[in-house]
Amino acid sequence: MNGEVLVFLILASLAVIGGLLMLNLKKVVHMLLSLVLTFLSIAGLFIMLSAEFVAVVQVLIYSGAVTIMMIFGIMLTRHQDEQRVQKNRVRTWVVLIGILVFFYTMYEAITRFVSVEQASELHIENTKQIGMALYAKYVIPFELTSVLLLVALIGAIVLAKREEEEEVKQE
Amino acid sequence: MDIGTLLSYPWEIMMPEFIILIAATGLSLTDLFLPSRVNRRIFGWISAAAVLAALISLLTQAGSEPAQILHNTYRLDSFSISFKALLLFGTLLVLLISTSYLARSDVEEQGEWYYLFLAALLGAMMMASSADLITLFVGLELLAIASYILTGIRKKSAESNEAAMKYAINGGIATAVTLFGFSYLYGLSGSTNLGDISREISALSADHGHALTVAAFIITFVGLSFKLATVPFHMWAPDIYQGSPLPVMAFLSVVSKTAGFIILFRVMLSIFPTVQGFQPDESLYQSVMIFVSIAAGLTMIIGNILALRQNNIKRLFAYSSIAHAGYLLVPFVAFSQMMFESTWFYLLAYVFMNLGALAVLHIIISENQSAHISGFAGLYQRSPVLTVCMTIFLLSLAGIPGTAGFMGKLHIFIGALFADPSRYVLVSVMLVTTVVSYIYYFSIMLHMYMRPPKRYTKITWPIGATLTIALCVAGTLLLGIFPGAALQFLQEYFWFNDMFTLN
Amino acid sequence: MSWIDQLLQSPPGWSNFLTFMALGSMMLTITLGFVTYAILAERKIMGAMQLRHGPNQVGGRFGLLQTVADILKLLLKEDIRPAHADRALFIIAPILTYVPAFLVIAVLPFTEAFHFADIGIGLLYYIAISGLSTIGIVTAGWASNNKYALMGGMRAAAQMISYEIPLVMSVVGIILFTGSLNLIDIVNAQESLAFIFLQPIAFLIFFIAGTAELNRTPFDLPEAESELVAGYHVEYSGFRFAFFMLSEYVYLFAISALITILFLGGWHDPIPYLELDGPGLGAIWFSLKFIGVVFLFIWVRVSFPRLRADQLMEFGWKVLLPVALANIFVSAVIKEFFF
Repeated sequence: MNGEVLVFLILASLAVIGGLLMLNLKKVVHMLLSLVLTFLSIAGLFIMLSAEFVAVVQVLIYSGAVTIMMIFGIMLTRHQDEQRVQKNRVRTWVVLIGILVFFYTMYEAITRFVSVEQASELHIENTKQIGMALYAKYVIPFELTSVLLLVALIGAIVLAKREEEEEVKQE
Repeated sequence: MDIGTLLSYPWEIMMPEFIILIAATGLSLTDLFLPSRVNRRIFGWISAAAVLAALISLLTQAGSEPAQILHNTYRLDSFSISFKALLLFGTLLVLLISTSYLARSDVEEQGEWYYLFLAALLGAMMMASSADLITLFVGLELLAIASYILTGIRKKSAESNEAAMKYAINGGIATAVTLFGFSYLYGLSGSTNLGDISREISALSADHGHALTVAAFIITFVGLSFKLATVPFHMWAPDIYQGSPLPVMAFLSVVSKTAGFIILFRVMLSIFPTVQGFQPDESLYQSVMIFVSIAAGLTMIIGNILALRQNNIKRLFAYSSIAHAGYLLVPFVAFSQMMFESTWFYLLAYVFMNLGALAVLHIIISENQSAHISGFAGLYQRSPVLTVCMTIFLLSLAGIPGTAGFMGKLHIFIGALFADPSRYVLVSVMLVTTVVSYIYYFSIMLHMYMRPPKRYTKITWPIGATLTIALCVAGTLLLGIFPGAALQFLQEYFWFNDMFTLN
Repeated sequence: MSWIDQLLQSPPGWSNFLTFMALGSMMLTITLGFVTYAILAERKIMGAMQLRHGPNQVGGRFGLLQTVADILKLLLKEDIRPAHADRALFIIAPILTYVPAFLVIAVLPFTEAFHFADIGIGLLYYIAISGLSTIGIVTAGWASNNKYALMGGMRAAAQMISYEIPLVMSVVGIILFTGSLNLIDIVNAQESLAFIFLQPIAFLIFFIAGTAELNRTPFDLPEAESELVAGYHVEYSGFRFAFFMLSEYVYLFAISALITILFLGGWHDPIPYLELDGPGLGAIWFSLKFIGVVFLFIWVRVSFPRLRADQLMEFGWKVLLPVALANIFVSAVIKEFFF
């Protein structure tokens, strides 16, 4: 076994463990931290693929910003920080079997797939290549994304803003 | 790439999108700087005018050669022009209904309302005019996120909040599934361009990437079918339609659904018909249609049967719109020469009849302050004109001869029967379920004509809704009586096969 | 290819493992040494500015062993864990805070020869990893099950998000001029002119936002003694507390080094055309600039009073961010027309 496989196995299992913990832990803050584990492991997997820019952005956006926002939201509104769900045995099993069947199908499909050629130039100046693609070939979806972000921003304000009369009342 | 190369692209073909974009950003900036005491009602008319302008500028493009910018990240062909016309027209009617809705509602964010609609429309239009997975996906998300916000814009209504929450969660999952499917398409081909994907996947030999291609098709279809609200991914629709404001419901059930069909057609038809299927003599598209036809059949059956049990008129229309999505899948399954024509025609008919009915519904609901079906009781005594209009829409939705709905269904039947192979089972399911749908459409008529009214107050006709009803009545009847005009227009100006001449 | 690159690309094995361990420990020792004397320096400078002596008993008349004694005291203290604290998170939180602080040092090039990982996106790596410490701080605040700690943690999270954005935006100008995110490339681009002269506004923004990221006065709201007792680490004592303290000062080390690299020209001589870039001199130049930046941080801490929470937010979003955006725009215009 060479080092690459070893690192891949460690990172992949950490990512899966993080996901499983997120589903099974009781407290919301614990779930979030296991989510951070998954995000970081995925960032590690990106580094293994020589996608350093994507990896760092993964850390910056997901582990840094998204998780902090979620922690923030949860802590500001901690009415019930423990989640209680009735476990439905039958449903758990059905879901488990479904997942296994899906996994097996995809596993079979992927093992049969023979890749013709592999890109070998992608890791050279990775960030620059992404930038070139983004601002030249994909400039239309890129600009459209800015509209998307604007809409999301307006939406967040629309849904979260308190009305002016209410504010006066509160004061 | 320097500025010269950038400017050398034919940006003028994006004119309709630019009009919508400028209107949306302009309105949002105006809204920001306008003092809050100024009424935003004028925004409705401005945005309606912008949509109309975009529609006109789009129609001037009809009959032009297919054109594209930057490796098909933007693409203008007959398919995109014709279906974008539906999106623009549908949104125009929704905006007209909005002007009367907002005059009487508790929505505080009247300015935001309009430019969120315009942004959603922009997303839908980009879904229609691109042959690149990334643009398609960003358009899908723009439409989806604007719709989530619009669903929950009545902040003080618990129903509206619940609907927005459900929509955001379900929509998020659907987006994830779609993206997962796209990731397989990209992984198999190494490109996001639909033409390249098709070529690369066709080049894969049958045992190498075949199973993965089928998986990619099914996962993508599952993700996209959420937008169409077809069974088994229809459960969100009734709750969300019921909770959202009526114009938003109209938008979701007409424009958003049309956009869903557009992206489904674009992605699936660009990629899969050229790929080798299970049998040597058929394409993969035909091989996997069995899954889609099961979904279509179930959608028609479940949508129509569940509609029978509804007392809430908004839920009833939600199930009816699920059933219509089932009808619309039939040409997609049949894959005949007439596929685009019959889908386009049915969607146009659906815009007229469904938006007309919803405009009437808006008047009734705002009179009664409730969406119970008894609100229609004795409508004939109170307002015969409105009753006649509603009757026309209901007859058309049910598919009675002389209306647009009938002609639409007829086209779908003929297309499915003359397809190779003929889809007899689907056609019979469609026939039977159409008959079932008579029951609930006619029960509304029963209330309107036979039951005594609760009150005898006169019904007021708000201007926006009236305009919509008038347009829709005219459209429903004209398309029903002279369907040839619309089809001739299609055949004269649009060659749908230019969708496949990518690159 | 330098020896560190060869080492990084060699096949794995025990000898490599030991080499990496040794290198890591060496860097750890350097930073710990820095932390020890940075704390002493801070106390001495504060003393001088407030017209008192500062530590002057332990370790001679300059108090050279004062911090060592303090650390020893912390290590020997009883380890107290509040009864209702979340046990696991309470233990993990200091580690979560400290690990990123040490991780960021990996990309900082100190001199031409002395640097560790030379990765293409060094600057972005620094920003991304340093953001992770916030998670540790918030976790500490939450796990302590204490109102003050939670408030401190929340303040830290809000402050870090608000100031990370102008921090990132301010360096975009430098990236524009260099055309690279690699820190070594950035230093090399400053051979004739340090970026502080080309990007003075960016430097100011970066310095202010950096102070906020470090939670130092005047932005020390997360641990304001007079308001929150001590903020997120109020329930921590002994060596766990030492970890928080340590990570704070390691960040002081890291961000001072980063400012030296980004704005002051790293190991290049401060006066251009002097040709004083001889071997070994780089380390001296770097150290001098670095000490200057650290002194500036201490000076600011002594001089300014603490901001109010809402003023802090307003300043970040309404002043720093727009100025940083304007700076990007102006830089792009300058780059387009004058370079």
